Amino acid sequence: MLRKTIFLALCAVMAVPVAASAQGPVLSLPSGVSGDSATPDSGKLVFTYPCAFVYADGKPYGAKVARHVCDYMHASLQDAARTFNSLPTLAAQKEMLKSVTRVADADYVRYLKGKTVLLEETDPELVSSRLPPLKALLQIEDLRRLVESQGEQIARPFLWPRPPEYLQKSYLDVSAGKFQDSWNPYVGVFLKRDASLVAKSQEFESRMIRSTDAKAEGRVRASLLARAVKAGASPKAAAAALARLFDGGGGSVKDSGADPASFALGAAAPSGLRKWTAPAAGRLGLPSALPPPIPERGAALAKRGYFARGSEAGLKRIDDDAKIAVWHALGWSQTLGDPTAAVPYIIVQKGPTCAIGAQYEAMRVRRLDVGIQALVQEAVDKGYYAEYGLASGFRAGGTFNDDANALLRDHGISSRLMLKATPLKLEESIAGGGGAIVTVREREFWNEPSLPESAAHAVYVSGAEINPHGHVLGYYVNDTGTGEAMRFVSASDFKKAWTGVMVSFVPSSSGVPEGGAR
Amino acid sequence: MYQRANQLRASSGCTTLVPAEFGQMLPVPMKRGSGFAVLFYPLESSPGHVEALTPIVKGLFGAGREADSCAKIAGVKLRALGPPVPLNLSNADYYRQQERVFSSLNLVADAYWQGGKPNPAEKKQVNEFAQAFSAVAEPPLLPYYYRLNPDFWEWIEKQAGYSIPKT
Repeated sequence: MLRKTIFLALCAVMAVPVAASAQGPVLSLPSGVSGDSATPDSGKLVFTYPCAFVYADGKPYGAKVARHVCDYMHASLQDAARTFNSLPTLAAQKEMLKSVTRVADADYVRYLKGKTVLLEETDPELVSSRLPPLKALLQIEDLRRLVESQGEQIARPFLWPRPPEYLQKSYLDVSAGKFQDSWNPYVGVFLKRDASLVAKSQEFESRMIRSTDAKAEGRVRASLLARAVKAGASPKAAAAALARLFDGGGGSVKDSGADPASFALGAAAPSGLRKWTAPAAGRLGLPSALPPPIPERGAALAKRGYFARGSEAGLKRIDDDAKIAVWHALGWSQTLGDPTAAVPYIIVQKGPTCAIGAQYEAMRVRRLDVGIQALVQEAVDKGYYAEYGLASGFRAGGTFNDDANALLRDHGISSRLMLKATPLKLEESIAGGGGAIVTVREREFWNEPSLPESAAHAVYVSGAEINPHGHVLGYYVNDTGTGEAMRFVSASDFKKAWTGVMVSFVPSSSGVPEGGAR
Repeated sequence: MYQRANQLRASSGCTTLVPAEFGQMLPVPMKRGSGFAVLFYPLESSPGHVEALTPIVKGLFGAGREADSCAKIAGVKLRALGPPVPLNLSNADYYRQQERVFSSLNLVADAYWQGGKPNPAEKKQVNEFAQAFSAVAEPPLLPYYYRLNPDFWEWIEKQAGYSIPKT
């Protein structure tokens, strides 16, 4: 944070008040400091945070100092307390307080004006409900970015310097990530605005999901109708059968003589994939392997983290899941492993702890009751994980390749570290061991151009999608780097990103993934 | 060459020193018979912001019979140096330029090790390498590239007119 240096100038001439003309306009705003006729002339004030002015002998200072003045002193002036407290006389202190109040008041007015403008500019109601969902979501993303960048900037004169632990997004700092109470009066309103934009975006995300569901349902209907007609059924009879199958005897299939294309386009009732794929497939005698349903709302939807990498990536994920549901319904593919089992254990990592996060998920799926914080501490204690603190407060580091499965080993889960694994080995680990941990190139995997190609990232592979010929169409991944669960990654995209490093799981003698025993 | 450089991470001396999350610099030819060197650097990343930190591990590969190796660099003070990817470089360009670096590196290294004046074909490769390298190398790490083998970069400057910051 850039801190103003007017106090240094003041220090140089000790007890000379800051010239008002140099500090902006004198305002008629509610002044930060009022007169204090009862103050004894002897004895100086002592300024401490948060915002206490008392006399050296402990008596309270009668004048009220506004909160924004106090916060301004702490946030924007260098060594404010030390300088204030070392002024030689009470008169000099009062003069300084008066000068600072003028500046703080002026900045506070600017803050209030800026806040009003920003809140107007980012009103969620500005996003028309008639917009296509993706367009609306992109617009909301822009508004959220504006709130984030501008909000802090506007409030900056009053924001206390961040303590180092605020930035240290590390499990090793238990206080990390807690918001400073002192910021709330200034940025709380922007956080609320952000929350309301998030709520607005959820409305469009649900619409996007419903519309994708409907399109997928249309595709399945059309395909099934074509099959039935090809098999000799009259279009009318086939359509009636479909109507019974999907809508319980009527519903949206009104034109029983319509061609398949009209069903595909035909605004099929947005009933949601989960309502029909598995039972429909069952009634048609198609493979009823677990379809990956798209949760419509609530915690189940949140856990998937569809939109964690932005709206466009979210739309792709939803499309992928809808596409897979169609594949399932039509018997074109089935799921290897049980990716839904890993969904509840998705976390968003702090610091470079992806390999620990992936092992954590593997343990939880295998019914080990472990905590991520404790695992990270254990990895540090045992030297599996190195974390470096920086002057900026951020953390860097990671897990050594050799130790990519060390915690699993220590917790009694059989696994094997392979530095040059093949897709076949990965498939075997999913089929026999219930999953795998792989390292991928972040740049490719996240489509994130700010990252170098060489940096890698560990993720938990919880399943795969295979076609009737046994070919892998793609993999399901839990990614603690983004908080995405059960993300489908096509086999070709996966191949491009995979480094070849893999931790495979060994099936127990009973054929189910092992876990629990040490 | 690309695969060879990437294999270094999986070699026995490196798996205990280089976390998967570290970035890896492009290889630099060392003196004749000494193969290639790379430096590994931690990354500091937060949403929308990535910085390369001071490299902390040095790796060597391709030195004849000598096994690939990694060693910690002593006395490193970690500092955030800047974005590891040149700004305004498209994804497609990034991969294309990286491919050009790796595909020309062997020939460039051979020409450098032979000494003397490169023939026209070699000269073309040196220019190709210099152009691609300047497009894709981590901007804040250029002085570290130089320090790995100043003689190589002086030779590159002489042949291709391309120089990198020394400090």
